[in-house]
Amino acid sequence: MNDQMDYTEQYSEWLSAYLDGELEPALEEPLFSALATHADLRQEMRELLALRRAARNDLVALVPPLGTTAAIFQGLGIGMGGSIGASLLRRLWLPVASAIAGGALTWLAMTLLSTPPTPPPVAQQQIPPQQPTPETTVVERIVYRTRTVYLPGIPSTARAEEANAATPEYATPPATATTPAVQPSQHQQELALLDDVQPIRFTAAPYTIRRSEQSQSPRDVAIEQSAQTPLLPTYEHYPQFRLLLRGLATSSLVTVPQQPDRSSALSTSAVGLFYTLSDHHAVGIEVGREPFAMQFYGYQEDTRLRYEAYPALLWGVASYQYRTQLGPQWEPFAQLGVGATEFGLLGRATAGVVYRPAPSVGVMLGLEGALMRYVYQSTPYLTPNVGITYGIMFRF
Amino acid sequence: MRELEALSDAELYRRMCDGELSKRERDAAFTELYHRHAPRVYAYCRRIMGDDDVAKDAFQEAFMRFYSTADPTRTMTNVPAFLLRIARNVCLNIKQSARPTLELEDYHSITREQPYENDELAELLARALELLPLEYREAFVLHEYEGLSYAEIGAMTGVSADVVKVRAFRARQKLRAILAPYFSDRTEDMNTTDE
Repeated sequence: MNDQMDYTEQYSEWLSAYLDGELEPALEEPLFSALATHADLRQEMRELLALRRAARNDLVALVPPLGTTAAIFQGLGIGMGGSIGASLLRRLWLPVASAIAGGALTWLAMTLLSTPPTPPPVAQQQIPPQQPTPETTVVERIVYRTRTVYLPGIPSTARAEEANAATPEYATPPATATTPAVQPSQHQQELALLDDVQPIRFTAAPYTIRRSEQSQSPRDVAIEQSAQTPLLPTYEHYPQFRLLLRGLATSSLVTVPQQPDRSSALSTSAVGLFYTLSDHHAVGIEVGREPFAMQFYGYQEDTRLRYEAYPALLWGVASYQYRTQLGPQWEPFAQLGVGATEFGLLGRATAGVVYRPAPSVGVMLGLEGALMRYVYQSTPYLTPNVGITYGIMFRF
Repeated sequence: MRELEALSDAELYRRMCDGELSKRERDAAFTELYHRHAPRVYAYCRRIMGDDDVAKDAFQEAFMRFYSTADPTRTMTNVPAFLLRIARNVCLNIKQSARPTLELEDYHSITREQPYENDELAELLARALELLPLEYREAFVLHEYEGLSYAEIGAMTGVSADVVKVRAFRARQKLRAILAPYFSDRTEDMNTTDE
C-alpha cells in the first residue's frame, strides 16, 4: 500500500514538474504511460490545469483603491496635483447634468401634461345661461377686485347698497338697470351654502357678472358667467408638491471584497421633489448617494488589470410616480427614475406604501432596485442594487 | 511626466534617491514607480493577506517603507522584486500578530453556497489560499500569480529553489484537497452532460 502511495506521489511530482516545464525529458514517457493507465492521475492533471488557469485568468494585477493611493501620497507629503479636482469635476458633471435635465423634463411635463383646473362644483352646478328675452333687462358689471359677491335677490335693498358701497371698484351700472328685490332661488341658496362652507378664492383678474332679470317673473333670476371671464376659483384638491427624504438600505449583487462605503448617513440617502399632476401621477427629480459595487477590467500597456471598488456614488434621476389610495391614510405607490451616477447611466424603481398620520406628512417604506451601467475602455458593465427604502414625505 | 515614462525602473529609483534633485523631481520619480508597480504589489498583498482591509494596510506600509528607505548607494536591478520583498516582510509582520479566522469546515460550507459561474474557481481559489500555511501560499502566489521562477522566489524568500518547488507542489496538493468538493461536482456535471 505504501509503495502504491509513493508511486502515486512520484507521478504527482512528475506531473507538477511537467506542468512547470521542468520535467526531465527522460521522465516524460513514463509519465505519459502512467497518465494513460491511471484515471486518477488524469483527473489530477485536469485539476492542476484548472488551478493554474484560474490563477492565470485571475489577472496579474489588482488596482489599489484610490483612497489608499491618496493616503500613501498624503502620508509621504506628495501632492497629487490638480488631478483630484479634475477627477472630481469629471465625476460630478454627469449627475449634475442629469439633475438639470431632470428638472427640465419635469418643467416640460408640468407645462404639457397639466390640464386646466377642474371647475369646482360651484361652477359645474350653475344654471345653464338663458337667452335674454325682449322682456329681460341685462345688467353687466365688471368687477375688478373683490372677494365677496352678493347674489342678486338675496340681500335686501339696503344690503345691496351696502354691497355696492363695499365694492367701489364696481363700474357704474347703466341707468336702465333695475334691481328689484327677489327671493333667492334654490340654486342660489345652494351656492350661498357652499360659499359658507368652502370659501372661494377668486382670481385677481377682472371678470364680468351678467345678471338677467325678467320683469314679469322676478323670482326667475339667472346668473351667467360670461364666457371669457375666469370666474374660477383656484381650487386645489391636493398639495402640488411633495418632498421625499429617504434612506436606502441596498446591497449590490456584484461581489467585491471591499465593504460598501457607508461612512456617513449621507452615503445612503436621497432627497426628491415631486410635482403632482393628478390624483395618481406625479413627476419629479431625486438626488442621493448610494454604494455601488464595481468590478471591471482594463488594460494598462500589456497588463490586464482588475478594478474593484464599492464607493458611495452621487446620483440624480428624473422620476415618474404613480400612486393610489387605500383608505384615507394609506397610499401605495410605484416609482421609476432614469438618470445617472458619477460613472454612468442609472435606472431606479421603487414600490412601497406611504402612511399618512397627518394630511401633509407621511412615512414611507418600500422595496428599492437600481441598475447602473458604466463603461470602461469600451466595455460596458452593470451593477444591480436591491434593498429597501424608508423615509418621510411632506406635502406642501 | 512623459520623459519619466521613458526611464527604466533603475533610473527612476536613482532619481528618487538623488539628493541633488528637488523634492518635486524625486517625488515625480516615485509617483511613476508607484503607478508602474502598485497593482502588482497590491495584488500580492491581497492574495497573501486575504482580508482586504489588512491588505490595504500592508500595501500602504510597503510603499511608505519603499519611499522612506530609498538609498542612493543601493544598486537597484529589480524594483518590482524589491517592492515585493518589502511587501512580503510587512505581510509577515502582520501575520505574526494575527490568527486564522476561517476554519476548513467553514470553508466547505461556503463553497457549497457559491454560484456556479465562470469565475467561480478563481474566487474559490482565492478563498482556499487563505487556508494554506503562509510559506505554501507564498510559493504558490509568487509562482502562479506573479509568474516568478522558483529561483527568483528562493532569492526573495531566502531559501533554495528546490525548497520553493516542494512548497509549490504541496500548495497545489492542498488546494486540490480543499477544492475537492468543487472538482467532484464539476466531474459529476460533466458526466451528466455527457450522458
